[in-house]
Amino acid sequence: MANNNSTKVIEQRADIYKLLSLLFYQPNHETAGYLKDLKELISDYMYSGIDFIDKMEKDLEKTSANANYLLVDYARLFVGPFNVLAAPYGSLYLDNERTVMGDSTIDACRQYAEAGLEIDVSFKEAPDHIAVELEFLYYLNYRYLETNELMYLVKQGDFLHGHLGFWIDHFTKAVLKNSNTDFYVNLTVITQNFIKEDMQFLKEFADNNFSVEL
Amino acid sequence: MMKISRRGFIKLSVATGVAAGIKGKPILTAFAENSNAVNKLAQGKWKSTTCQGCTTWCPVQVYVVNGRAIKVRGNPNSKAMEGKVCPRAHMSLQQVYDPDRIKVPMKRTNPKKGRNEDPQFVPITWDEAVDTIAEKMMELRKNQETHKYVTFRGRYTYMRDIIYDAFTKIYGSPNGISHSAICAEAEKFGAYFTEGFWDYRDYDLLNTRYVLLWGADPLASNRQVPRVLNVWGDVLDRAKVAVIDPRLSATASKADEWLPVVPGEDGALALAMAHVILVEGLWSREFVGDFIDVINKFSPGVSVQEDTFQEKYTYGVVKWWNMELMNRTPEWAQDITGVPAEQIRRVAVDFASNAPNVISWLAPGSAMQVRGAYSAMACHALNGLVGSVDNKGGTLQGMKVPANSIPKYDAYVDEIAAKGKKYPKMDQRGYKEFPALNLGVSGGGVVTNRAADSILNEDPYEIKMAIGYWNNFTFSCTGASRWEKALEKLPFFAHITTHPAEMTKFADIVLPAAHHKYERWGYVKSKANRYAYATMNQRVIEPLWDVRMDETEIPWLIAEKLAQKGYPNLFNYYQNEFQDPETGKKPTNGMEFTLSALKMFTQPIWDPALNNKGDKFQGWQDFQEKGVWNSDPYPFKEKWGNFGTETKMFEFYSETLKHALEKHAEKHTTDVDDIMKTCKFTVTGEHSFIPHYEPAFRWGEENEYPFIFFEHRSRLNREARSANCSWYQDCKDVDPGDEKWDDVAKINPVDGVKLGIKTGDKIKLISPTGQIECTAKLWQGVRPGTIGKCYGQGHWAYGRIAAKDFQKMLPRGGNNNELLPADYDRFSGSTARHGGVTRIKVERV
Repeated sequence: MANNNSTKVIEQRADIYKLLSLLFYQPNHETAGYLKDLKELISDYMYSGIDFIDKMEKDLEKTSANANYLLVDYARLFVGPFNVLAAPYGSLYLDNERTVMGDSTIDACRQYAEAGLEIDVSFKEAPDHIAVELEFLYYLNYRYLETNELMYLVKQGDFLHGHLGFWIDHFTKAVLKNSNTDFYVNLTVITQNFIKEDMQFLKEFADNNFSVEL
Repeated sequence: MMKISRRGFIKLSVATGVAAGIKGKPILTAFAENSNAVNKLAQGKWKSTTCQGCTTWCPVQVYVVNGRAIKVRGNPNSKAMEGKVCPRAHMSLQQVYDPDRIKVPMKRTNPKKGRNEDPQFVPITWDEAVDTIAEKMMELRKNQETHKYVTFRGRYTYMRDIIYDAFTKIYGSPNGISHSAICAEAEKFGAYFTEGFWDYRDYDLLNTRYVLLWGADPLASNRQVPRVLNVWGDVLDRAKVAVIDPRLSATASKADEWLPVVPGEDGALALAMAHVILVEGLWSREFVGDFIDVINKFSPGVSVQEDTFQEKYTYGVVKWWNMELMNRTPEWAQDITGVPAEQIRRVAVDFASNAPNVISWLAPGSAMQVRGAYSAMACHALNGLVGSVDNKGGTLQGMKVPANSIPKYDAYVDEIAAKGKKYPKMDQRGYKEFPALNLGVSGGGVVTNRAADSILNEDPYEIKMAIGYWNNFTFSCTGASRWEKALEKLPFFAHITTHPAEMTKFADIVLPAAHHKYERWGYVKSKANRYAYATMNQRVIEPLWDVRMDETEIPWLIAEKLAQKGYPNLFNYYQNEFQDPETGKKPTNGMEFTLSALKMFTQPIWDPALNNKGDKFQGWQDFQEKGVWNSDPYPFKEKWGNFGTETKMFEFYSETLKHALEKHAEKHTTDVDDIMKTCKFTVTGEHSFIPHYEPAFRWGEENEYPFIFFEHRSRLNREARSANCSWYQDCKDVDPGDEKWDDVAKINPVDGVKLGIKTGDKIKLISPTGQIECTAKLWQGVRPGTIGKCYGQGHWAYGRIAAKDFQKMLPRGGNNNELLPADYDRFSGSTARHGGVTRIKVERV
């Protein structure tokens, strides 16, 4: 069983996943608040994480002069139309065809279902959208803390290795190549770094606490 | 829009040091908890729906597993297609799951419009999008300018009248402008002015002994493709097939005869065949009649006394002979058509010798030409000569599909709307130079492609606003650059579309549409294999994105907004007149409205109390499950003596056309000769009323533009909407002569040598009105002196795969419509995209 320290760490990591997930939705009046909260949590997990968030906050300020400043970049990168420059869908990186709802998407859905989740009927995006996968990681942490059942951390490791942890590098590359805003460049870099760090964390956590490899 | 949760969870987390979700429930945005979720990973199920990837409109079924569409097959309940589909049906899986689709409503933030302007679209809510549209509409109403609004309709289902008719008219505009005239209206002209049937024909392939294909490639396109793919082996076993096409098409490559006609000279070929049939005495005595003394007097160059021939079910065969056919020998046609006289004679004799179980199959290739009206008549008239019209193994009309129309809306048209909708339609139909004689009425048909000129020249009046759906006129109309200019000029344009398209580039508001095969409700009517059918479009998967149905949900939303802004009539019409036929319940939202309307329209089909023809159903659910209603088989010969013409006979001398042209001339206080000249025809007098020879009309002089350009269709084209599918690009070489991931101009090797051009060279094709770049392909399947190119590539704004480099605005090849001039078969209103309408020259890039 995890000790109190590790519980706190996992709580914070869950929150970071949830905040990162929310930041990959369309920017809105709550975005600044999410950033503030992320700033409070990130420094423990990422070297110079605060610097990244400072840049994002500075960029976000530009929306007061031009409400569409971030939205235009958000649309170009993640929504389209015409050419989604940094498709936020796992299947585009994991399957052979440039379509959503590939075999990898269905595998992600299977993993969600095995963890007791289904896509909400009012949710209007592909099930392997980066925001969904990040929220799933939040949820697995939550379930672990609620139940202390190791399998949720096992599932987290499995999911990262088979899905988001696998395609985040390609996604990051696409964002860095095409983004016109510091906001999305830094959000993506933070996300990439955090995922990598979390994969390492899970490995060490397993080494320290369990005899099972995660 | 995505559902965004509060960020309370994290505040609590920070404040208490405990993640908020841990104590209570997790805060979920995309997910819902369901401990039974794993058991919902259901087994797959085949669900019925409809493929509208081309004009065939096939009943299909989609295999859905865990909410994901993974496979398509023909609907086994279909008697027309007998459970078959063509490659297009499968490709739609890549369309529905295309990451470049429109996912949410968007608005333009860059007010400048143009091909090279980035619209800088940003996501908005449905409420904001619909409010913006309704506000613009109310502004026009306030100024009593409702006629300055247009609904541009592309492809459609039979839910169309909700948006195209009622929406437009109750709002107060006459301007429902359909795409039909860029589709195939000219071929309907041929059947209408001979047998009084303005529609596509059906063909009795099971019993046919000879198929004469006029610019048709039914193994690949237009129409009944799955039906043809299914039975063509049998057809080839028992029948001969002759293909008239300047290109060695898929069908030509399997045919007994290939007649690589000079583009636009199909009419001359048909007339020469008619000549041979009469001279050889091979016409149908049963249908056409005979000389009273049964001695054939049809001899080349010799006229015949009309009273020596007694016609049965036809009208004017001797007039036709005397005025036109007697000199149209195969030798005369040989120089014009480029087809040897011997082959013309052989094909005509073979065709007529197998009559009446034969088909003269007219397709757009031989009809959508500047002077295509008379070619269409001549090609179809062959069916009349040999008695294959409405006959076993021949060409057929179709059974009626029992369906309801939209409820009357006159009571909902207020004074402003009544005034607005009285204006003439904006597409110049019925102008002296655009008779558009749909059903024989001057201005009865649409002249789709003139709408661009109408906007640019404010003729007949200024257009201030338009909503377009399921269309892409900026790409699909000839003289495409005019559309770019017109849309730059148009002050407000909303585009309802599944995929972003060239037309979307000019939109102020973009609305994401449900995909017709997977995500929407509707129904269509069509026919094949002697069966008419109604097949439903069904929502077989839950849409991934925030889409709405173009013909029903979106008009409902706009009607709601118009009501909020002070004009409730449209909303009242939708709510009062579209009650669920089973429960009597009034619709309360767009989805209920859609389903009520669909149930109403199709009630005569699924309601056992009303349906007494064709397939029977136990009720709505049963129809939904089976997905398709089939008529009884079409009976032969019942139209004989009761055709929809002025004389009730099959007309070789068309009293029906005479009546229509005289009415049109009268409207413009002139005579038919003047109308003929105005519409680019060459004859005068009585010749105007018979299928006669008209030399092909071409843009460009031969000395400057030495090659005749012609285009054709791909067996993979989902109406030019497939180019963003990788399967389309990967398999493009299934079109004979074409190459994968490329757009080639096919040049005969003889011409290639003369030009010093080899396969793979990058070339520029230049017409008097435009130019495009593509790749050269030396190929023997096109006749020397012509250059052929498939339509469908050349997209510059249809997604990442469709363009060669979207970021750099580089299309993959060139859009033929940028090369083709905007010209017309004015009698049907059709865009003349075939028949070698333009000459071109070729330069190496």
